[in-house]
Amino acid sequence: MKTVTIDPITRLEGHGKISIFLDDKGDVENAILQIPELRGFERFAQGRRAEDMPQITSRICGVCPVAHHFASTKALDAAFHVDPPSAAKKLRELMYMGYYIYDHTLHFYYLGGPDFVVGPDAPPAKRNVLGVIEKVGLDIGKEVIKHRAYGQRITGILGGKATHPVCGLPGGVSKGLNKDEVQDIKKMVDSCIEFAKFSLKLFDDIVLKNKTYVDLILSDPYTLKTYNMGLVDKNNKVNFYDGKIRVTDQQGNERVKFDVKDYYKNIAEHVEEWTYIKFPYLKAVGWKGFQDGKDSGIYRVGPLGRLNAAEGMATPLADKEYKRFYETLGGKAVNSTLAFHWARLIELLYATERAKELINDPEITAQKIRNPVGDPGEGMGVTEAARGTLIHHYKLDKNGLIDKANLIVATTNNAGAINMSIRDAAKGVITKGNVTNATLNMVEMAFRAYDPCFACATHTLPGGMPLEVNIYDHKKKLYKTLKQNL
Amino acid sequence: MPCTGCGGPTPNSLDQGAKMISGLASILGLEGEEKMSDEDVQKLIDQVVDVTGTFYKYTLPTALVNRKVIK
Repeated sequence: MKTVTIDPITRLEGHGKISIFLDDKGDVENAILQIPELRGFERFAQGRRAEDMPQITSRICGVCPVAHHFASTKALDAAFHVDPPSAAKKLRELMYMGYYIYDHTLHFYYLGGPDFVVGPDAPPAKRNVLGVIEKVGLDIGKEVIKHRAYGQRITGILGGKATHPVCGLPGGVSKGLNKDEVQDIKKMVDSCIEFAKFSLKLFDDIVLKNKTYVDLILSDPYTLKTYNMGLVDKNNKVNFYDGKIRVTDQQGNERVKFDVKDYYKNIAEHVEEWTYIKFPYLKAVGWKGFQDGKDSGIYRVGPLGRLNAAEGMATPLADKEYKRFYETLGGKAVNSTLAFHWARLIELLYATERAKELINDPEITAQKIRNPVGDPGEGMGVTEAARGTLIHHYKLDKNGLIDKANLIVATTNNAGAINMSIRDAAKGVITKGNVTNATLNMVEMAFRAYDPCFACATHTLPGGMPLEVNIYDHKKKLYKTLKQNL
Repeated sequence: MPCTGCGGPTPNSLDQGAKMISGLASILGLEGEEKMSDEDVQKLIDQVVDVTGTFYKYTLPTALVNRKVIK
């Protein structure tokens, strides 16, 4: 058996390694994604002050610190038995929209998008944000950078700083908004709405009007019929900050809907010996190995999972796009992995529209932004990180120190699905031992669509990552080595 | 929201946590110290929860306490 190894994989957050096993004919027998590092946040949170957790856990990730910050803050709300004032919830949600604006922009233009915008088989030197700018033009490139910075600035104004914010406290937030800041944010949000519309049009022009790309999106190697999960509001519309966790089946029908406090009744985790990542699955369906279909408990989260798990978007323009998404891709549920990219842009539009609603809400400048806390206990908090459902669960001792912490991070939820996606893509694009940089990138595209965050802290510069692929024969002897930037 | 010292150690402090412990030792019990039992002293000290986490919160990497003497 020959083995093809992609290590490290690129244009994602964190580190990972793909191993592809070929049979004697050179066709793909299996492929696995390994996460070879262990972070250990759950362990070293023990004994820490509970109110430090929003700061500590936001260090899990430099890209989605806001998601960890608020999942943690919400877990503390519950653990200290306090409900924040309405204005505090709105301020948190507004900041969350700023985070989505910069994070989704980052993924589409810098990480995942280059595969489409400059093409999956473009040379690696072009398959990055600079290649994107070369294709779409310098002026548009400037708009991309500007609007990503707007998202960061909105987050920074509300959070104290953009990366690793400090505003979340049990019972509310530490800082409100003044009138100047409101005006500043209003201008940025208006501009971001236009930018989101432009991004969707760009996707239309470059991807949806290109039959080859549409065929690729709808092709079997990039299709996975799993369950889907996401937070929804009371009308079953997508919500990033709060709501109930809804799971739908492969046809878009509701399978279960639950509060975060019942997550352990609905989700269990499977362990494999070859990776540090765990594989969550729906308890009621069960773990049946790496397979899709209604009998396998594997589910997907993130933009596609959220859209599939909901019945629409809560803002008008995004809802229109939501309907067009399903009309174009053949109705519910959309099971095409590469449709994550389109779903992500629809969410970007929603985030900008929702930010506008919130910044225009008169309550956003209210003075009462925190309620006093009660005695320490146990609490769970859930948010939708850009890449999926994120749960923090803390048990506090009588002094308010962390006794136990459990985190179910967004990408962990997608671990089973990502493994199957890279396996199926590898089977689809590698035959008779034909392995090139382009085919390996087609395999990477299968995980990149999920916008995974494996270590949740380490970043790679697109296109410049050192990469070595080792191919072994069936006796595990090195057969061929491909190198870039080494 | 109280200041937690996220600016890092102050310039005149070689080991901020040790300074804080020294400062507390100077004021604990104050005048009645010699009349207190060991249990009473322990009760006073127990009021400080998470000593390392609190006093070394932003200064542990530069503190003396985690250094080793190389002979």
